[in-house]
This record gives sequence, structure tokens and C-alpha cells, in this order.
Amino acid sequence: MEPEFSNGTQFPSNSVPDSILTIPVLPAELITEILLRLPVKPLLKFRSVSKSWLALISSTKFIKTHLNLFVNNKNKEDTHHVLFLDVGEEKCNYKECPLKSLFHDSVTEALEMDFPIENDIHGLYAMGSCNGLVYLARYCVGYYLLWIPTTRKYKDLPLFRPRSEKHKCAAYGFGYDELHDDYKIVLISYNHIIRSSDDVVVKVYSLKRLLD
Amino acid sequence: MSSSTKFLTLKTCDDKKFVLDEAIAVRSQTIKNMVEDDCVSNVIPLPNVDSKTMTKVIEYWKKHSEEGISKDMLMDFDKAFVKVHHSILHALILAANFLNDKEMLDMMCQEVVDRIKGKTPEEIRKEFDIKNDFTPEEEEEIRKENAWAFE
Repeated sequence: MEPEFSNGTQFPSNSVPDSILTIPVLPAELITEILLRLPVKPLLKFRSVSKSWLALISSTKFIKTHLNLFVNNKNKEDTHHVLFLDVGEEKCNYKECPLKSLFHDSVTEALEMDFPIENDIHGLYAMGSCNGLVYLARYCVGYYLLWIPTTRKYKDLPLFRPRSEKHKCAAYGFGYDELHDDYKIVLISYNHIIRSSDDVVVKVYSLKRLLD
Repeated sequence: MSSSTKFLTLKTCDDKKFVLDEAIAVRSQTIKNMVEDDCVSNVIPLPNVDSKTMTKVIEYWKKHSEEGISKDMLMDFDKAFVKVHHSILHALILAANFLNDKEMLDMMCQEVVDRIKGKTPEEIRKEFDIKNDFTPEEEEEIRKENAWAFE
């Protein structure tokens, strides 16, 4: 015979007035579990909830776990965005759209991004992007910076440029080195006239000290 | 009902007893470990869970153990299941965490996320019973740093 399932006492959830309900306090590990699932915007907003929330949300460990969760999202299509420079007559603007939208929507709407610095017709060109960071360069004045669109912040970078005059051409790459937990810039410079493989200089710059 | 069905008795912190099919109860990794380590004599105490919360948990476990239930039906059940006052939601999160039921914990945490996403810091403090320990100046300073997030 099946033992009877004793249901305990039934408490309909709406029978107790709000004011006398005590809210069970969630321990820090569960608060973290919840906050990790939030997008960046509410997270920035919730920094002002309390000192402990501010400390948690600003901690390097939290930021890295949050990034990993979003980057390794099962639905990669949801997290990948296309960034493009819209060159106007007087100004350049960056716009973005979700990659998914290009494949699945009949009309893709590109959103203008809130760009933190003055951007004239000599536009800042995106040299590479990784994990939500965008590496931008304005060649003519030798200006380089790292832009984080999700937090609308940016950081000036030192000049990474071929030292020798004959290496006038350069190609840049920007990526994340997981082994050393470091963002790196790869610079390949070469002489555009001679085009010999002996004359190619490859340099890798670490951004660790700059970003920590 | 097959003769091999085993039942476990769970006792909540308010001394209420729940008799439950072992196959259902082991949705809780905590209970499963106890069963596997053979340290279940007669009654399993759940010192961190009250009967009201346990009733909800069992309701969830039973539905998710039903044979032949469709994905859509489960989705509808889950949707209705999480529609509770936030004090109950928090209690369920604590219970799911103690019982170590990852699936249930995930669902509950996601529900909290959906609820709080659009709220103001003030509403969050109320919901989580948190005291604002910033001075007005400090709070203003933090707000200013990311003013756009408040738009």
C-alpha cells in the first residue's frame, strides 16, 4: 500500500499580508549567482544598492565570471554583434546590430552607439575586437585607444608603431590570451616596396599592466 | 505501483513529515548523497527548509517526474510555479540550494533576474531587505559614474 503523502498545512501565498512577511535573506553566494545573470546595464545601476553590492559587482573575479558566462553562452548568435563605422560628411559614427538579425530578420536595424570621444571625419578605425573590447586607432595622429561599449568607457593606449622608417605598412591584431589572462596587440610591420619575408617585423604587446 | 518502490520520510524544520517516493526525492543531490552513503535510517531531517516551502518543492518534483509529460506542459507549469511573492521565491531559492537541485535553483534565480532587471536600486533594497549604507554624496557619486544606466 502506498503511504499517504502528508501535505503539511496549506498556506495560500496570498493569505498573509505583505508587511508581516519576513523576507528570507539570501547569502552572498546566492546573490552572486543571481547578479551574474544580469546584463551590464542593470549591474551598473545596482552598484549603488549598498557597499557590499558595489564591492561584489566591481570585483575582478565577478567581472571575469560574468564575461565568461556571456561569452560562452550556448546561443552564440545572441551575443555576437556587428560593429561598423558610418562615415558621414562631418562626423563618423559607430553603429551596431546583432549578428543574428542579419540572418533572421527581414529588416535589420542598426543602433547608433554612444561614442565617448569626439570623432571627426578622420574617423577612428576599429582594428580589432574581443570580449566586448574594441581596439581603435586614428592613424594620422597616432592615437590608439581601447573602447568598452557596454560600459561606455575607454582607455588611451600607448603608441604601437613600427620603429623603423622603412617598415611603413602595418597590420594589427587584437585578442585575448587565455593562458596568461592578458589582452594583447599583435603588430606586423613590413616594407611595402621590397616585400621580402626577411623584412617583416612581428611584435606582440601585452596590455596587462595597462588594464589591471 | 511496483513493489520495489521505496519511500523516504523527510522532516522539515517545523517538525512536519513528508513521505515521498525515493525516486522523486533523489532529485535533490543532497538527499541522493545521503541515500547512496546509506545514512538514511528512517527520517531525513531538513533543518533549513520549512513545511510550506517543502510543499512547493515537492509539487515541483512530482510534476517534473511525471511520466509522459510534454515539454510544453512543463513550461506552463514552471511559468505558473514561479509566480509567487518574492519572500516565497527567496525561500524556494534557499531550499533548492540546500537540497542541491541545480535545475530548480537555476529556474528560480532566472525568475529573480527577470523581476529585478528593470528596478531601481531603491526597489532592490526593499526586495532584498538591504540597508543603504552609502551617504547621499557617495550614492550620487556612483550614480554619476554610470548615469546612462539609469536612463
